[in-house]
Amino acid sequence: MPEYSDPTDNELVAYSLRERAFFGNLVERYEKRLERYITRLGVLDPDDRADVLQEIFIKVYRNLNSFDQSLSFSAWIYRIAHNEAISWYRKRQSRPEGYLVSEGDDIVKLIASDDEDAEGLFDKQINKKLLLRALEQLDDKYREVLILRYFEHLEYEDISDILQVPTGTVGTLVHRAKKQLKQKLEPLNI
Amino acid sequence: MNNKIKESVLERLEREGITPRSRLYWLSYEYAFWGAWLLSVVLGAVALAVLSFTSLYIGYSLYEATHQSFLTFFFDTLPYLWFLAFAGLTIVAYFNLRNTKRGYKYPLYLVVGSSFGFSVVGAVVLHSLGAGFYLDHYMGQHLKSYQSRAEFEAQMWQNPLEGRLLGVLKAPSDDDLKQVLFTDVNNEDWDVTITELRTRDAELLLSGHKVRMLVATTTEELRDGMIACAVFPWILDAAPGVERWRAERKNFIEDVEERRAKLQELVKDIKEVVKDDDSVSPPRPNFSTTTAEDVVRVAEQSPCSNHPVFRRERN
Repeated sequence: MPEYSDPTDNELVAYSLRERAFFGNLVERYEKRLERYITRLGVLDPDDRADVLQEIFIKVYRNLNSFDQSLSFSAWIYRIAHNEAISWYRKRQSRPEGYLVSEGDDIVKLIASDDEDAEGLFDKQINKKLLLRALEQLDDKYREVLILRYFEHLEYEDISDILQVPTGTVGTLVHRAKKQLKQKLEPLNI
Repeated sequence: MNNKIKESVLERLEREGITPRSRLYWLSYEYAFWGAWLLSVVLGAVALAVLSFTSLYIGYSLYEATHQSFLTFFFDTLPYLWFLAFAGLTIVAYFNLRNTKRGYKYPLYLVVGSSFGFSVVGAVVLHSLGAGFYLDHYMGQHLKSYQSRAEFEAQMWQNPLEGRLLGVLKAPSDDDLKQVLFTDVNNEDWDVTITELRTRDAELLLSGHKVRMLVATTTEELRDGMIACAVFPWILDAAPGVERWRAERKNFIEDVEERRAKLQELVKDIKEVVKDDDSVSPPRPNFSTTTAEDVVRVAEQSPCSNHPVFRRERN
């Protein structure tokens, strides 16, 4: 490995293209994040998750030359993970079930912080289980964008690269997602 | 699980001999989309060039001669096929551009606008070169299911029952050029009286060029007593310019106006004659028992005045 102790993603990509073993470093760097991400997207079974994760990294390696160095590698690998998870649902002919691990309360604050109308609603103590249920009822596109924004803490630009939509559309999707979430929460008296 | 992932991935890469796809592969993939986009834009421009040709030159100048109203004319002559082709190609161009590496970053209006805009620019260039006419003409000749604008116009004008003929002068039938033998595009010969034609129209007919002719009949038998009311040049043998269409429209309006003016003049004359009966000279008809309105009524019964086009115009 070259002299850098902590090479950037782009450097690791360049090394991996020259020597396969370096790809292991990229796998190490992203495996936890991607595992968490695909879990949130609904790949709940550990064995399925391992398979999906392996497929993601195989695809990443196979497509390394298509990575545009001017864009974020993180967004690019998330994009592949996102597509692989969707493809996994399709193969199983099932709808993804968002499983939002243990960050519910923080997420509520984050969601509320960007939306004045929803502020009062989210200031209330929200039952996490009810919130998760409401999130599961959202349209896929809305749930995905909320996961990327508030669970993966990604910027609009990165979300735009992952979902392959213009940055302006990401803003619109986030706004609509929060609106729909609010509607889903209303019948639950939150 | 996580510790295993790195090992399993590297082991699988090794075992299956998986290597990154070459840069050339991805480059050609990217270029394929750009190429497809460019092709869609170029084909869109071609479709738009033909669309503009067929829309601009839909025989508007003489629509009263071929249709009951502008609305029926409009819907009958609209080039639906080319509208659909252009819309379809714009959609294809949109999807190709969207699928390029950074295509998703561009806003919708930019993606659609650029595809549409480039096609429009291309179409303007092609149109100015007459490409719309030539492609339309070529397709008409080589595709059985395609009807070119020229064929469409010919079909509208070759309709003796409706008082329209398309063809050329074969020969004068008599020495004083009151009647001519006219051959239509179906190779049928017609004896046509040309005494009601304006000088300009008669000259055009006698020039031997292919012409469109408005005709009227005096009898129920079509072939007998056919009278030429107006003659217009056939201009779809080459890409016509807008100026030519405008000139044709002007000519048609003049024709209608001239007939109206003649009729008004006749009415005026008759009224004067009736008022001053003594001044009537022997060769003129005896109007003492006839009103001006009667004479106009008789004049209006002349075959050409009764031609649907002129009657409609008069109303």
